Amino acid sequence: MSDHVVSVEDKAVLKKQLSTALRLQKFRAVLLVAPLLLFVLITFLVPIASMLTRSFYSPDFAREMPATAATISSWSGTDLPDENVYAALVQDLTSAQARKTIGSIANAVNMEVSGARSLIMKLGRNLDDIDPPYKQALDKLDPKWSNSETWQALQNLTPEYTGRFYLTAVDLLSDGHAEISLQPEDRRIYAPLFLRTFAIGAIVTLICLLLGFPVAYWLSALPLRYANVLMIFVLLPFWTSLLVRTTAWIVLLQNQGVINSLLVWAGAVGDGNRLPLIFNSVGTVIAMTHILLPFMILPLYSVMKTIPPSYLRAARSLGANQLTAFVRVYLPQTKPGVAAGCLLVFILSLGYYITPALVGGESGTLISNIIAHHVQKSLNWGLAAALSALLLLSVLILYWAYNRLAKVDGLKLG
Amino acid sequence: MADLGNAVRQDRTHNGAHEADGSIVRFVNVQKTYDAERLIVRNLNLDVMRGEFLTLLGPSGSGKTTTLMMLAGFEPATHGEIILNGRNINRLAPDKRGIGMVFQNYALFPHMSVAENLAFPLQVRSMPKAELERRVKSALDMVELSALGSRRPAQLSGGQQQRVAVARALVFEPQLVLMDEPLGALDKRLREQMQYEIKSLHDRLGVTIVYVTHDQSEALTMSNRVAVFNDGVIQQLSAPADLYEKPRTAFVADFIGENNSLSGSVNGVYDNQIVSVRLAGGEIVQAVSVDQLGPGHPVILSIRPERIVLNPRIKNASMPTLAATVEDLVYYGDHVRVRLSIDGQSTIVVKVANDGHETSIAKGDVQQIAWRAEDCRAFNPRQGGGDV
Repeated sequence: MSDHVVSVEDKAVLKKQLSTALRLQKFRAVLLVAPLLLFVLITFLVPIASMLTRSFYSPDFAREMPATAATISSWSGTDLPDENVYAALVQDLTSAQARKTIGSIANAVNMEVSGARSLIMKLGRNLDDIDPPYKQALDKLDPKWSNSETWQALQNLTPEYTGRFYLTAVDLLSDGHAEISLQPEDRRIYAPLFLRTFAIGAIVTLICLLLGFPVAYWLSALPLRYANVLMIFVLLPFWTSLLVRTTAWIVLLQNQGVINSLLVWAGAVGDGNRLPLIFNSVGTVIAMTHILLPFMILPLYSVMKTIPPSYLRAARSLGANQLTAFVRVYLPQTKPGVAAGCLLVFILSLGYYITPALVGGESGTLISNIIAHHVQKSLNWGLAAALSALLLLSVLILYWAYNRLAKVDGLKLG
Repeated sequence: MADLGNAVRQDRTHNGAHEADGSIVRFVNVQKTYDAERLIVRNLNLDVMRGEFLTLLGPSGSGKTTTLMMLAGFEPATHGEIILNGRNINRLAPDKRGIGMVFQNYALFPHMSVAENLAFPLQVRSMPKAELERRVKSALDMVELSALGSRRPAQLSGGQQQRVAVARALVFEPQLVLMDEPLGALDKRLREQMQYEIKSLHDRLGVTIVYVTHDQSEALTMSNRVAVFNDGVIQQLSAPADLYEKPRTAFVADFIGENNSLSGSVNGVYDNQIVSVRLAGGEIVQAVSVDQLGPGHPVILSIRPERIVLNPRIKNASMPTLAATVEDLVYYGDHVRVRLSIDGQSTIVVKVANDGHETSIAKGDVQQIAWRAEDCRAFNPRQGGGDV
């Protein structure tokens, strides 16, 4: 038997042999995964990463306006800048005019101070007529050039690495000198929108749970062949286009729609005050609940299916009535399903875009709609990236929190 | 549990003593069907005596588990009465019956610790905390798991889970405990040990246990009485020894233990219920007539392999011998199993004890076999299910 005892040196040899033997296996695994990995990398990870860098890295302004960027950084911000800053601005704009990039510069400044676009374009048109000293000349051209806010905006734009997008995304205002304050109340947009997104997500999740739990319970108690047939009805929404489903809700819920007409016909509401069911947050919640319900039912069902009926029977035989048996024995065991379903629905609803865009109206738009607006319309990609980054971060925090909870309970996602 | 331990039953012989205690459960004309086409339980009449260990034994689908579930309250009887302690419980909810139950897969609540599992039936009975803790502790002591109270069921071995399940069914001190194939998931060695432990708990606590199994050795070793189910009917309800020695139907003879079946017809009837039977090949043998059949009636003979004497040295008139050809020999260590054919028609298996004497049996030999008339039982082949 002593032949079979492996000495230390032999162990090292064995280890080497084992890893050689496994190398081929590993190589094959890598080969199998490689196409998808590359696909995901190129079409998903790289674009997201490059988009997210825009939220803190914006070198464009400094590149377009090198002289201004160099001079304005030393400005204290209390008074108006020195003459040399004015000269640098005129010099940069002159060369920008030649390169025909003055429009985009004006746009960039306009995002910081509204009305700045026309100010800069006007200066661009009159560059030929302006002579030193520029300070007086610009003031004469438009008194807004003597407004420190305008220069503040220019100074804010110059750093390559900036947190201003994030500040804007949470409705904070920076004067460029470590002084950070809350936006005036009427100009706070994003924080309320984040809150609304979370609130609607929470409401949708709760409604999905309340509607989905009994259905999943019933399905799990049915014999498999019936459950499979009925599961098709649960999955039906998956096989219909999102647009079709959403527009169907418009037909049903609008002012002259099926539900309002029925209510008026039944005399439940007067013709004059039909219920506002769509193009507001109510419509968003209804349509999103409908679309996300399967994401709640499926994890619940799969967990409930694994709970043998003998647990409930055991509880009853031990003296618990139906309610106690359900609450104390069945319900705790559905926890992984409830957690997975809620997490899934909540995370999906945070990023919901098409449905709120179509049926949300004013009070039903979510943070993703404003992100889309900044990507497509206002072209403020830095802000869009910052908003997206915050959304992504909140999802990751949620996921982390869930995993922490799951670990404590010894549960796994799904 | 100490309180219960004191209540050790005074006497328990295999038969007879139960009548004095009276019955705890009565099934009266109980029927059960799931689909209105097939009766799973047919006209069941059964008295469970107080303090006894009664086993419901039968193949799957024989109605034994359904009977247990009706008693537990999880399946309603479609006809008849179930009486517990003199009270009709047909419509009583399971939680109001106060019956302990051990399930096939234990059904220990996975999200609760062992101690919480044991405390559950006491909590739902709103027991004061101090009393509850005392009972949980003594229940843990009873099954020798005191150190594992804080573990989750998943962290226990199969045998430990089994003990917790038994303790949980006993912790609220029910008079009646049902066990639904509780040892089915354990390996053979552990199963035998648990059989012993459950049996000794029963002896100590004096509770009534109704136990369902399809394992006949489990039924024979543990029970005071065994009810053999087949096809929704109790074929026989007897003490284990009677079940083996005096089966009342061909099914019971076949289901319990090893058995040789031979077919023939009644040749003549002697007194003392002994009949002579003509086998298919024409040989005359003797058997106990169970169903009191007249001459000419076809019968099935049933005889245990260990009761057949091979090559009988002492021949006498009461033991007619048969010639049989050795077909096969299988060595089992403590015994040798010899398969013989009678007239090349029916085969018969004989167990020959390996008692150290040189055996001169070889394949192809013609041997004489014989048995005592009282060891061989003749049944009416047309009678599917006898009643009790």
